[in-house]
Amino acid sequence: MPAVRTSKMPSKIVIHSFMRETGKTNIAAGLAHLLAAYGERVGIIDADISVPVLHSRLGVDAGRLKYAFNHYLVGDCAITDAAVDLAWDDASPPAGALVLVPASTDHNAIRGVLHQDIDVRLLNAGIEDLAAAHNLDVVLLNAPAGLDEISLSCMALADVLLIVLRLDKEDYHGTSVTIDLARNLKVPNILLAVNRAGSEYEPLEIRRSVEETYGCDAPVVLTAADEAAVLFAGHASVQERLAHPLAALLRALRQKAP
Amino acid sequence: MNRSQLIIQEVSRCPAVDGATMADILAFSEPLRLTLKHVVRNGPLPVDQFAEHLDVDLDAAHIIVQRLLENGYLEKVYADETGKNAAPMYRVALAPLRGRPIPDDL
Repeated sequence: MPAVRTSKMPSKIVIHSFMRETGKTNIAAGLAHLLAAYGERVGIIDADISVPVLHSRLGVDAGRLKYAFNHYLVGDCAITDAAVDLAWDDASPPAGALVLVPASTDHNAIRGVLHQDIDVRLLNAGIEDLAAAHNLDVVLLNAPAGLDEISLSCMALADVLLIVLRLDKEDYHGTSVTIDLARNLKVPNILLAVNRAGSEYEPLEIRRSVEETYGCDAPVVLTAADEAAVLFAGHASVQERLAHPLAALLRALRQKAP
Repeated sequence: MNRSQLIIQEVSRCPAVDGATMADILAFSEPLRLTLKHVVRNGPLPVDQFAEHLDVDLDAAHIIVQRLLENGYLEKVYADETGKNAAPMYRVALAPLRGRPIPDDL
């Protein structure tokens, strides 16, 4: 019989979108940088195996990576072997920590995950091991877009589910389905981030409309221009951080995360 | 039928599985769904805590856990690795994500 695992868990924030191409990964990267810049010890796991781009958004060269989340899932390494500690030189104090577990861009590693049976319990166990090894306060999970077994499993673990959406018809409907499922799973907190909103609409009006439609807080509405700034969150000065497009999201997360 | 009987009926009728998926868990009624999700998030529970979460008496919880165990949704674990010094606990037997056959030359 397996033994029971017992250790303190960090806050888990799952970043998800129903559709691809919503800017989910950019927002996950920006949020991780911003949290770390404010002194949190942050882990970020790229569970979006089929679109492995989070590492490049965080400035990590794929050639540097020996192991990735893929290798952990198929039992080739411990999750800590796949972790990359991203200390950055120009961060202002009190900088925390940012530890990335990337998804692999190697075709054999991607194929390995698709080809082999995966124990989904590894997801939770991996978060626990990563958090213990790096003394993390918060773990962000970049979940795959859409509704599959990995994204549902990520949702079940979430303290906060952040759903990124665009303002198009398919995403509007898909987000509604996603929220229904998350509510059925009693995910404790659901937040929405509207991305790539057209500049012809008033952000406050978009926010009000989205919040009314879904019954969830939507603390941030980003235009395409905002998204560029999102990626430089970690390098922003203290002044710039206060006015950063993700600052409102960060405040909302601080209220929601345990 | 009271709450205990309804849940026992539900678990008695659920199809046997070789491990549960999140979709299987979502298909249960709310008390079972939320209890199983709690176990996925927080780890195994002893039967008395299943009773608490399901809001049923201990005898009913024993029956429910046993049915879920028999039907492949739960598995038994021990807090103590030897399995001798503690009451059993039960965790969700999550099914593996099934790999798909991919041509070797892909």
